[in-house]
Amino acid sequence: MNGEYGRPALDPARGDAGRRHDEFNRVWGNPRGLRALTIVNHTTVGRNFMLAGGVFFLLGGLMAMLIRTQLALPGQDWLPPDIYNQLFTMHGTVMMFLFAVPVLEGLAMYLIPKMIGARDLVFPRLSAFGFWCYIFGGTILLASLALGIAPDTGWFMYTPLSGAEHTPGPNADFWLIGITFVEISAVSAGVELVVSIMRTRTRGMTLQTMPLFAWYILAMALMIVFGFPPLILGSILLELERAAGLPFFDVARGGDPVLWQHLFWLFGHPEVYIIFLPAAGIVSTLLPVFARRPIVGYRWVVLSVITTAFISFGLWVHHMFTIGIPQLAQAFFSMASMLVAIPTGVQIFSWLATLWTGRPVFHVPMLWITGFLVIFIAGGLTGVMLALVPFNWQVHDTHFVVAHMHYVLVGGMLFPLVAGLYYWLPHFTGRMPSRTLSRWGFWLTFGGFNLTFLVMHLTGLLGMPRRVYTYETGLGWDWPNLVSSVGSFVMAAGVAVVLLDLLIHGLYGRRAGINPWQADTLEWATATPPSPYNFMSLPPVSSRHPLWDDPSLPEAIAEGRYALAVANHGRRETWGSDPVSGRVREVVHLPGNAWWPFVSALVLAVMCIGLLSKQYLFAALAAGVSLVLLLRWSWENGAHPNAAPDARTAEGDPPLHSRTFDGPGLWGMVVTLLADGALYMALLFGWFYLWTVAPQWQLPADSRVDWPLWLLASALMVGGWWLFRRRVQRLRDGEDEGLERALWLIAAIGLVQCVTLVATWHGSVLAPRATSHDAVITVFLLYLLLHCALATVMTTLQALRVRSGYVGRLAPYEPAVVEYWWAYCALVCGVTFAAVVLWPLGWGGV
Amino acid sequence: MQEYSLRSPYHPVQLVLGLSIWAVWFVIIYAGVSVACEQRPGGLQQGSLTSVNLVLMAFTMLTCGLLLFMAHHNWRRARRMWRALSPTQRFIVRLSVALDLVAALVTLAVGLPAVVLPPCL
Repeated sequence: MNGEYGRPALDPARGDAGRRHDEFNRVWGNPRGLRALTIVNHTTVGRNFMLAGGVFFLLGGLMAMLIRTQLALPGQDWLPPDIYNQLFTMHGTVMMFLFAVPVLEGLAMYLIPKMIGARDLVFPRLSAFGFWCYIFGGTILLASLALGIAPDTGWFMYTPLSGAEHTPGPNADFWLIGITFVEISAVSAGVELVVSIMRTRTRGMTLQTMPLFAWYILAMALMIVFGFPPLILGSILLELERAAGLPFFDVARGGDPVLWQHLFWLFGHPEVYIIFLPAAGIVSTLLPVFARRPIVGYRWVVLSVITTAFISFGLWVHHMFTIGIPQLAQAFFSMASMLVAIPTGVQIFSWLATLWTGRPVFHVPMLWITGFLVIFIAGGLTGVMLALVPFNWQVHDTHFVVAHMHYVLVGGMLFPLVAGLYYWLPHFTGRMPSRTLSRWGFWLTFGGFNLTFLVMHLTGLLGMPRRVYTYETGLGWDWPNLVSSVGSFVMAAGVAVVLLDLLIHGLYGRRAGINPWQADTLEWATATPPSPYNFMSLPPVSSRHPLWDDPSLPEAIAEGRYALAVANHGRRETWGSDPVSGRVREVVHLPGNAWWPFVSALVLAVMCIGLLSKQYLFAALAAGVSLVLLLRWSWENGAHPNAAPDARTAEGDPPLHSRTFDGPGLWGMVVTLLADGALYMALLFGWFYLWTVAPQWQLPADSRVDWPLWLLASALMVGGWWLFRRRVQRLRDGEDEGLERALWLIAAIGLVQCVTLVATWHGSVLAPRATSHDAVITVFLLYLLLHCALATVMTTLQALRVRSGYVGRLAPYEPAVVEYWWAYCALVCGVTFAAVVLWPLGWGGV
Repeated sequence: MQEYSLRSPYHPVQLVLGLSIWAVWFVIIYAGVSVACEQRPGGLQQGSLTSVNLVLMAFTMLTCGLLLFMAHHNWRRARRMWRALSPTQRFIVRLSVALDLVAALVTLAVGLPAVVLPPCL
């Protein structure tokens, strides 16, 4: 499919570069005004994530100031307990869900394509959709605070306190629905980042030459993919319990509140590392630049990143040491909690060795890195103390834990983040920060932070519990609380100075030159601030330090000396490369600006409001509309003229990804299914957990599952998948005759399968409000029905696309993607049948 | 670059295989202790010499052995073709073997309490 788009001859004349820039801007440019809502470009979306995260940070900080003002002196009660409860719950929720994760994801979205030599993330519309879900979800959550009905049961929402009996108002619903909505954004960013890093690195960027930051973000993104689904499931179950009376956490009806704790902390502890790893990635990126030498022990750092990502999933029970788990089981988690300090220690020694053997220069970002090292190491050490079960029992739910948590999170995330903001500030705006203001900002924040939280360890050791809205004098807590409150205001002043610096540098900051810190990574080869397409041409890379190897690389890229330097075909293009070797395999064409992400997220927000106001019919209608919008969005894909106006590529270039069998969409589907599988595994865990451990687990005497119909439904799914697989194989062999007819047949099988599942539910004798047993089976059936219905819809859509000429022998890509969905559905149908029908036969059940 | 199959010592899946085995082992021992103590509590007077502990120790040693075998096996196979491997393939081999060893070490360390603690206290 090669044709007229030959690479232009090198013409260094400015006129030629300007003409090419105009051509690229026509394809990649961002609209203004209301149409700015349609922008999908990763630079804009990533920046918007960071800006919104910054606003949420300030709001969360304001809540902290109110809390510290109340606690400054004993006996104060100007904040009544109900408002105080809302404030500390929202402070934790906002900081964790609306600030820490999104702002780091935003930074990753902004930087990753530039660092790996790509023009955009691989699913730009998904990024934009995630951003709008985040904004709308965050707004819904904060609206509850303005209305005085914010969540008030702690940021971890423990049951039974958060159940309908003890929290009858809508407070907890705002958390459950709002946070689940925001989590769509986190998971979509996770999928996006994994696939982008694996599949769109520039020519020659192998796994071992990939920047360390990309390793950290790859680990973080995969942790999101596996770590967030348990909480999403927990939130859905708790909301079902609150809204529909399905008992999952109610002991009397066979549930167990400890199940919530497991689901929450299965997410909650990895979350700490989801926040820490990208921050450590910032440190590993900046430190070698300012030490003016490559990092010591690149491979050791990668080793410790992968180890941390795994072990951090084996620590969750250390948040539950006081709830009566057998001591031996506690010891497993205690050991794992101590072990996780070792890979972190490896990274710290690598950073110290880099400084020791380098020629460090102390610019402002280095101040924040030093602050990070001091604070985070202290927080890590108290973490090892808390991993010891007897000590953990003593200080559980005291201010010691609050102090530890802030040392780890502020030290481990905020300080590196601000270091990174200062480092990449010239990249964002093209200007340098003020030396004086930036130093004042650091010292005030550093001093204020330690004044607040170092003393708070003592407050906790003196026995002051968390979450008390006031305290009496004479308990020894007066002066440490006063010191902490004064410190918090000093820290707030530091944040204000940093903010002032960030704001005014845009007006008065010195213009930054090219690569102002003499960095080694590719993001500094773009213009500053960057153009929407990042690179005029995509350079090959053969080492970890492309800009140290060739400082003139930015000019050569801008002159179009490298690959994909034309845009007159109207496509947004970047390389699709081999995940290991970086060998170029396809030209990935990316979708452009569109209303779909914004409108779909908006309708989903309407659905959330419908759920919150208990207008379920309205919510179902909104869900239906959003599904139609999402399907319409998916229509403009692959060989659709709006996605790839022209399939021809330049002489010598590989084909477009939509004309192959291994494009990024396939990878996107696999990673999405990993997330979906994690949610399913959490549900399976819940089922077995309740069966084996729930204190009053009960098998309803008259409960009966219509297993023959269920077996038939599972068999239909497996049969549908087998047929689908055969058709894809024939497509691989270049045979597309009868494809449309086959797809219609498979869609019909899917439809029959859905009807069979509904009949299974109808034919079973279930009382989902009476027992956890029947409630979980109902959720299983709903899960299967949803997946199988989607398989049917996607297959129908494929049949229509074959008819429209968007799928076929020359564009065979999409059926291969949908086949993975069928395979997954067949798998979960079989596993669920085994778990619900076969397992009880051997465990005294029905 | 030489083509790679899923079982080759330089396939990137080797980077996560060892620690995935550790994760499965971890879930099984935790679930096993919880279920065993829920179904048959007691046995405190026996200290750590219970059937639960013995099963845990045996399972830990087996898993640890498997991980050590994987590290050894992959390293030996890779050394045989070392000259033919690209730098990236060598990078993956070194890293994955180290990760298998880490997984074995973590398995041993986390399983160690089964030697000294009774299961259901």
